[in-house]
Amino acid sequence: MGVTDLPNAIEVNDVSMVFNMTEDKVLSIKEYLLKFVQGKIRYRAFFALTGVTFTVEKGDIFGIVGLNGSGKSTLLKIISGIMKPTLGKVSVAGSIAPLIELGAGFNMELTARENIFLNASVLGYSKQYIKDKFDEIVEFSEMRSFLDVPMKNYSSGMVARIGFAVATVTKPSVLIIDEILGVGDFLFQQKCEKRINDLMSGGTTVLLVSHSIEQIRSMCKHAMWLEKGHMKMIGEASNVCMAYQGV
Amino acid sequence: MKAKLTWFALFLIGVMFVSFATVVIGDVDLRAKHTDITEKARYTGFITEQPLSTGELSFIDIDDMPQGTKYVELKLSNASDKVKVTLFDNATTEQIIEAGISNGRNFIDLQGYYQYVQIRFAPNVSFDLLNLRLSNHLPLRVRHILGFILFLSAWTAFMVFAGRKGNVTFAHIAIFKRYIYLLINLVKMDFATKYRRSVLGVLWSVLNPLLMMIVMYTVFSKLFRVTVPNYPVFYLTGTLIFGLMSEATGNALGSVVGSAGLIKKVYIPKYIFPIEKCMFALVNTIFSFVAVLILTPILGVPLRPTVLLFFIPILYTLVFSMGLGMILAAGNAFFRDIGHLYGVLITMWQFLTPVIYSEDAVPMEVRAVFVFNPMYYYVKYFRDVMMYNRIPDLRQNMICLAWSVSFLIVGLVVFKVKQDKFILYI
Ligand SMILES: Nc1ncnc2c1ncn2[C@@H]1O[C@H](COP(=O)(O)OP(=O)(O)OP(=O)(O)O)[C@@H](O)[C@H]1O
Ligand SMILES: [Mg+2]
Repeated sequence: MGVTDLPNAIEVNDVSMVFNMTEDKVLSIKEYLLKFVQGKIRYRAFFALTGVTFTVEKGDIFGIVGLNGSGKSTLLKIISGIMKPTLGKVSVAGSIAPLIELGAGFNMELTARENIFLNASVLGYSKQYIKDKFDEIVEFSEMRSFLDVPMKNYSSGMVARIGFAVATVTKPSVLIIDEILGVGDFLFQQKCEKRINDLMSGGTTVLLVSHSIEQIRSMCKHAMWLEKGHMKMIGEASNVCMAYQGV
Repeated sequence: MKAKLTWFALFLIGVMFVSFATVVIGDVDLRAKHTDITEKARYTGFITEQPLSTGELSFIDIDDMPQGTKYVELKLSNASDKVKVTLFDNATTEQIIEAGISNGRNFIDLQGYYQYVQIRFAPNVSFDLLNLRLSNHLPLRVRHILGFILFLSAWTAFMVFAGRKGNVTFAHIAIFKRYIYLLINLVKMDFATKYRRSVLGVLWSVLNPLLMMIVMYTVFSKLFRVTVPNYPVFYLTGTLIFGLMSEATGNALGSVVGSAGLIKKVYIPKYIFPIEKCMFALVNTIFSFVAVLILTPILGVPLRPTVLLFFIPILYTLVFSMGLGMILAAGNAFFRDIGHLYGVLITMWQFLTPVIYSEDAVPMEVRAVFVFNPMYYYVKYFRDVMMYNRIPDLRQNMICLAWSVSFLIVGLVVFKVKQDKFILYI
């Protein structure tokens, strides 16, 4: 858990992400060779992110806004280590809990109880830890009566509840949230916000992506506006939101 | 820095392969039996003085050559020139071989077994014959020991290098610990998936080899003629090891592509996936092993203490499969063809390994191919401990180890270099 001595929780330094979009996906050696010989392999370098640089202080809630395809999820994936950036450097102090897609590794055939353990192991928790925290997770998700029902019979909000409960059971140094608060009902959303505030008062830094401007405005101190992979604006959340809404 | 690391790793792999080849090529056996017949040769009257010299020595008769003798060793000194020796089969008076020998130890390969041999020395060259020995194997040579030392030091250097501060390879091991629970969970899930909606469940793992054995036994003992003693056990032990490898690598192959969902959503060290498939294959193999263990005495091969060593060949095979599995998984992420091709390759590989037939049934020239087939050594090792009450010697262990470790290293390096690109292709 050791929080390193970096002054900031997150430092993103001149990060660019290039996807090689081949005109059509080449998935076999034969095709590849054919095209290679014909000199037909054309890559269209697509910059999903270009020279993104920013820092997030410890304990801050940092919002990211932007239109569809502007690179928000890509940026979060790079920060949480799922992808490596093509250029640039990212450093994060301490442990990360990425809530990018909830319930990674959920197997819908298994029951919620089994999935809690599975999901916990995917997130790298130890067995003992998750056993100790099991009740807390169930309590928070309010799914006790559905514990032994296969997940395929859950509603999407119910799945999200379990996913959120597992992902936030630790006290991570950095919490990364990508539009996941929208699924639950308003009661659960309030609960999630409360949990995030609790974590924050414990010193957790939050990185939040949302299409709900209201949410960003009410929760975040600072925010950034991404447009086509470029940083369009960064600063006080209220200012950024206002500018973004003016589009 | 990254390029340097890759080159250094490649260099180390090269060193390992060379030393490994050194070990494989020589026919070394630490249990080599040597029969010293210097005294006997002296006693027969052809040699009277110390040391023996050609003055009076023109030929030596060897009666009753010990069973299994393959080499005649002659140690010479003071030879003025190359000494020509001709070996004759005294039973048929045909020439066996002609060789030129010089000062030092000379090994003459008999290339077959002869009971009565006469060694004739060409006249007009003077030398002292210090020693005359018959051996069933070449002795351990310096190059073999050097090869092994080189192999070990390259491995150590690699580990030390990998463990240096700031290098990620070792950091992976710490991360790996954190994900052991995930590994266990994934294996459990694979297991649950495999036997979902089957009435007999896990029993199938034990039943399967049993039923296969009956089929193979019927085919090979009733339809074709097999002369292999204890064929059922022979077949079972062979398939167990080969099955472990083919299942592990076959599943590992698709593991990265198949885990796209996870890889795209969370950070997990990606080598977990091929390794998990290998562990799953290991679990299945252990069930099959139980079946083999039950069947072996029933089929007439008593269980001897060497059976306790069963885990060694299984471990060698597992490590080898992990290495190969990682190479395949990485390759398959970029070219799905590998997946289609591999099924055919595995079938071919099985026929190139003495699983359903015995190596004795194959012509000598074909047998040379076995040297390049690690599965041959693993299968042989397993049969040695399971049915022949034999503890494989250092040489056999060195070969197995060299194959396993080499593949593991290559696999790790290939996987490491390519893993950041997976997400763009799956
Ligand atoms: N694996 C990939 N291969 C190729 N292109 C990709 C890949 N992942 C993302 N992209 C491209 O990168 C761009 C940014 O995608 P991203 O998912 O980051 O957008 P986003 O800001 O999260 O959008 P949304 O608001 O819809 O969630 C998109 O144009 C997308 O097509
Ligand atoms: Mg997105």
